[in-house]
Amino acid sequence: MHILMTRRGFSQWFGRGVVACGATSVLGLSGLYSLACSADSAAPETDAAQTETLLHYAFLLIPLLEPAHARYREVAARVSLLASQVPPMASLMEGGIAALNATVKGPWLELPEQEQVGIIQDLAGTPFFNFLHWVTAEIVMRDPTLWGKLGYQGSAIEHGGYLYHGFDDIDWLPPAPPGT
Amino acid sequence: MKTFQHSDDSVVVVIGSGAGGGTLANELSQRGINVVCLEAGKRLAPEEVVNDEAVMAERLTWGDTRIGSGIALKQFPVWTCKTVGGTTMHWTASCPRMQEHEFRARSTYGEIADTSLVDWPISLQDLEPYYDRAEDKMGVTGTHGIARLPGNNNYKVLESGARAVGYSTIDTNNVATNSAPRDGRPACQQLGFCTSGCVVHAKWSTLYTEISKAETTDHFELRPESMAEQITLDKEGRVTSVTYRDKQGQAITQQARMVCVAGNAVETTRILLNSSSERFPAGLANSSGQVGRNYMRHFALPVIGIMPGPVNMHRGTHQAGIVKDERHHDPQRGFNGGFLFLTVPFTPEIVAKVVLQDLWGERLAGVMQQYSHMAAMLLHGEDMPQESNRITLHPTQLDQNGLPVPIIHYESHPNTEAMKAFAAQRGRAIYAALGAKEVFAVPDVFPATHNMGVARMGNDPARSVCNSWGQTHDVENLFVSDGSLFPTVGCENPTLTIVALVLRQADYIEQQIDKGLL
Repeated sequence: MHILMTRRGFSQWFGRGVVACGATSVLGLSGLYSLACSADSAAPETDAAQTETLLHYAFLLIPLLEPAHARYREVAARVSLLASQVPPMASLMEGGIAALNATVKGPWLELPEQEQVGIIQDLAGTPFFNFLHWVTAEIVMRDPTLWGKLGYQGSAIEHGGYLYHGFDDIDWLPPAPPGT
Repeated sequence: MKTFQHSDDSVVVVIGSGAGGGTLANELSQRGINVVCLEAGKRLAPEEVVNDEAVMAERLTWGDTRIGSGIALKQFPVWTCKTVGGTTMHWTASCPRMQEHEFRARSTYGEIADTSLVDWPISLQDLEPYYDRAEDKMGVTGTHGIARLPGNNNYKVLESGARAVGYSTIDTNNVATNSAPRDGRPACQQLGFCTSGCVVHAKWSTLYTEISKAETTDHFELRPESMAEQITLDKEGRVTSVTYRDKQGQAITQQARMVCVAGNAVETTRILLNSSSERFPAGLANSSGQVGRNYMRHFALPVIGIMPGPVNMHRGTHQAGIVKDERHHDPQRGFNGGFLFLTVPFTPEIVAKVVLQDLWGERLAGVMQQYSHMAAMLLHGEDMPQESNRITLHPTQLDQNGLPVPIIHYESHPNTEAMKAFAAQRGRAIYAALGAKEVFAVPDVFPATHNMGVARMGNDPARSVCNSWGQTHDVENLFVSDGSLFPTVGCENPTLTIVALVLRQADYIEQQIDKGLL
């Protein structure tokens, strides 16, 4: 079974790579469909500090690739694109970034990583945190180069299926009791 | 390929081409009864089914707006498919039969507060011949001399852990997935993409079984991309036609001698409620007020164990693994009804994005790096019918077809919550018994895939929508032909029971036509 949605209230349209935040309650999947069509157009102009903040936030949420990996940049680009097209997304993103920076110590991006993580911890479960987690998980986990590192092998049809490639090769289980 | 005129009122219109609609349409056309099957989704060509979850989710999913209420997920309360074959494209082919006592839920469990619990109007014995025919038709392993599938790694972990905690009713399940070539379809290759449509067609799906067979007769026409909107009634109270939108958005009215609705619970409710008339102001066949009520689902509780050695759960058939030791009724456990443990693999994306959505940072990364050591199962159990769990239509909001948006309201009954808590603890114990480093049991993260009960069968027209044949009490030439018929749901995956019910319904329709009654 596969899932478009979690209890956090996010929905997405697989493959089109579009996500909307349920917390804003403005988009159904049919709304996303038309949004997806326009999302194929040129990326908006985005502020560099905003992009850097988003991609570093994404990295810290799911640090499975190099910090500067293109997948995190893709997360930042997708979030910025949605914010440029859907007003409630813009306020969600701006509020999310403002919350990161709402510290007396200066811009979040310039803090030591340990402090950055501490601030994210304080924001865990907020709508923007959840939204970014969803988008990051989707983009990062679909990276085939990561699959190899995690041990996920994807499609096996090209090789005749796992029937011939280890579907039952487990070797560490205790022996089955006699008569079973 | 046969086509029928829109004015041809000799046809039976079947709405939906999934397990219920696709099977019924084939059964009727094989008996020489003319059928027009309306399917909202597209017909995928074989090469459009690929081993890529993200691509297939887009191609199969019913993505039109639906609103969740209560604990139903707000924007995506149910997972169903909009494609020829319906949810038989996405299903895992798990085919356990319902148990004898589950047909007598009210008699067995007694009165349970805040439920509308009833017995079925038919017994297991009534349905057994049809279960038999359904299993033969679908090629269910472990029946009719069909060998069971071999166990994959994820199954072996489940089996070993289940034995360690004292369970003994464990096997690779009864699945409608070929273990050897049968009925023109090949054997399963343990590809691991069961829910993305089966590339090799080892898994039974109406797209390339029932629908293809119906098309070899001279009595069947499939109309894909045809969104049914309304069923019309004449002065005598019989249905006469169905109006639908074709892919150009044009409204077309097909005359009909009879209409069978098989749109899965949400769409079946929507078309009935959207077809109100002077005679039925609250919706077609809804004199009881029960259409849309008693909506039931199965909780889907994923359990992931990080095991001491590699499992590679992604290798192989999804639900060829079952433990049935907790499916009986034993109130000593603190709840009524039972539940099942079934193997299921998750991709890294689904693990990180959905199941373990509460983890992040180094913690999530650390867990994900052990992906190859993960084993996973899905638990589901019997739900209680409640009149207040219901599907309604939004009073003002319309979708892209101009149809009122469905609202799915669901609250979990205390019985379900008690069962879920017990089930999670047992699921954890299975992996812990094998030395799992960590076990996650995470309730309420998935939308409902088993949707049932909104037009339930019964003998009392005041408390049910259909009789035991799925014929509506109110309109004699209107039938419901999907899981909406279930008076209660047992704990088993519903598809086999849906197919058995429509095989029985097909016999009845043929007899009634032969007698000149329909």
